[in-house]
Amino acid sequence: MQALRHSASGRLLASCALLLLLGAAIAATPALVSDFVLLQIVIKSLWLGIAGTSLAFLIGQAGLISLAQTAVFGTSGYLMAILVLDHGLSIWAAVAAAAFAGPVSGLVIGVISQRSSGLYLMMLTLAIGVFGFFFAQQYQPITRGHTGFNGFDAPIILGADLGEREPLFYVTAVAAVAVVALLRFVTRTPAGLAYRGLRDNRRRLQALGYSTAATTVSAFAVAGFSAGIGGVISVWYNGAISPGSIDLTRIIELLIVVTIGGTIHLEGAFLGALVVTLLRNYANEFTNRTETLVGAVFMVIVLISRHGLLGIFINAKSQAHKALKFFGGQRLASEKEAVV
Amino acid sequence: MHRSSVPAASADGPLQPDFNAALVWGRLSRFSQHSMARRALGVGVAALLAYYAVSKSVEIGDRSLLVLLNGLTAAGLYFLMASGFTLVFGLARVTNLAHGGIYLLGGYGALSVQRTTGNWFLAALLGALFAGGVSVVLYLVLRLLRGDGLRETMLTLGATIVIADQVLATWGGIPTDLDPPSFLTGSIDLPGSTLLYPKFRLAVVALALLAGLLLWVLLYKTRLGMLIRAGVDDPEMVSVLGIRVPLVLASVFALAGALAGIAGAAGGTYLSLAQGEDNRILLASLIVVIAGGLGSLRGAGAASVIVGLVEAFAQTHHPVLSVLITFGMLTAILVLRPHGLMGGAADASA
Repeated sequence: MQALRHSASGRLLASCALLLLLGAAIAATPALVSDFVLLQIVIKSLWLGIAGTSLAFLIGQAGLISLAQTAVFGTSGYLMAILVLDHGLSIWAAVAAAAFAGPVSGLVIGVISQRSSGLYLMMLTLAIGVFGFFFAQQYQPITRGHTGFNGFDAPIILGADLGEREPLFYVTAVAAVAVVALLRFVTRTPAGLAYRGLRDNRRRLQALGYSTAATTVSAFAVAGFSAGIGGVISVWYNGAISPGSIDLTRIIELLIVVTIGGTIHLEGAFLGALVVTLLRNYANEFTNRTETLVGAVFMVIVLISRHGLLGIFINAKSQAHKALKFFGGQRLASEKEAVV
Repeated sequence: MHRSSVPAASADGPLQPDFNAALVWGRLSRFSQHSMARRALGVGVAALLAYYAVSKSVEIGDRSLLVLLNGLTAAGLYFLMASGFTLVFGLARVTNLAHGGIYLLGGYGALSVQRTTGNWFLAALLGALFAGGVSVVLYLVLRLLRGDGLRETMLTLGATIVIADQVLATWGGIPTDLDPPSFLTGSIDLPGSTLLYPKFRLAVVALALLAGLLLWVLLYKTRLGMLIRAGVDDPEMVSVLGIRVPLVLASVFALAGALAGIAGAAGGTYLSLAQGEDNRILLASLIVVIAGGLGSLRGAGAASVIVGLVEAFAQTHHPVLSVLITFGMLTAILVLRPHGLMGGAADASA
């Protein structure tokens, strides 16, 4: 088992098995859940999670807390809507442009905030994020102000209309897997190592001859990609985009999603998105102050865990292992390594 | 891993192995960091902007006075907000993003008091006390995290949501406002012109000046102020000297909350109380605090005047571009002075 884990062919085998498993799970989901759950919970948490991975990547890998990811999200979503509805571009050209706009706007945000870190960065990006909202609200000639864009028809791919539930689910799920795979790939490249250097020790990274500014900027660009994809799919899902899609509430929502999930693994964003979506949909059955509940849950998780729900799970798992080891003696010693 | 065997930096600059554009980047950033180049650029741009502002103001003649006063009024409100924010940051190293929510609580609290008693000053006082109390409660919750800055900031974000939702639940979503005290209702003639200006707005400027003066007295003439300043410089040393730092911290949180509460009462009188006002005022005070330099009270004062004036100017002359202009100004300040107008390098790394 141990040998298999560490050999290259073993890893390939494991990845293939994981992909097959994921594929089976994706294929089976529409049959397992009701139409309402599929649309309101599953698809919604998938695109929210895609947008969340961009922030999870920045925080978890590069240690950059950005509150400007909704600005990237909005830029892509708005660009697609504007190109199609106001300029009559074909939908796929617009989607391509929007996907390209993600990394580009990430790059711009990175350039603005390249010299900041920590709390200062958080405030600067918050100002950028809220600026994005005001821009969308005030620039009526381009963004149609308050109302934003309505009546956006989702594209048709291979004869399947993405305005329908199931095709949209499959495309979103595949996009989610692709985005996670891409971001995971980046974390394994030398650039990915540089991002972790940025997170763990800026000075040492600098001493090694890296430019922290260039590293920061490129991290923002990479993260911009998934935020942009999230923005595009959200417009397909909602059929609309307005300043309300990127206001302070949304900025905080994205941070909540990532914090609740935990940033140790990128996939935490999907867990967080699922929790938030479930709360938003079902909390009103026992309270009519949903937002207060969401905020309170967020505060409690921040208070009790440094790494969100994922952190709580991992912690519980290692605690359980310690207990088992205590009772079972040496038998579990080899498994302990596998967990770490 | 070829990178672990990277040779020492060569003659043409440090090696930046993984980014091809890194050398060009390095040259550009070294040029922009060159002090002469930056100073010349700064002076040139400032002169152009000043020329532009003056010529635009001459165009509209008398009404420039109104723009100026609007800018100063906004500056007054921003100073009330930003001074508390920057004090809390300087001493507790907490970025209190719930400051906008506390502003709203102060304003709405004052509204409730005014509706029952009809007295503006009593309303503002109780609103400020209420906001200060909420701020202290927030501090007590934050203490549980023991100085983990980023988690503290996230906690204040959570508090923002809870406060906004509770305000909506308690006071409803319809925009409303307070009535100014009777002797401050109406307008006065501006000298040398036929223009009128609301009395209350002028009173806000006076209020901010008074608050600034009191803060100065508090910080530089009292024992508590001495402790606060010492705490900003070196919190560990202060606690070693046997000072009860938590008490000092709690009083700073109370002070900041009370200032935000008064700002809420004042803003709720000449602007309005509504959903979303908390975000607007939070953004404005963030811009002021970042531009002024985190933790610097003088910086907050200078930056609130600059931001207020620039905003008023932009709203009059370029209503559509106003947000861009305010934001461009912030970016320009940060490019020229990365830690704000009066911020030290230490503030930014915390």
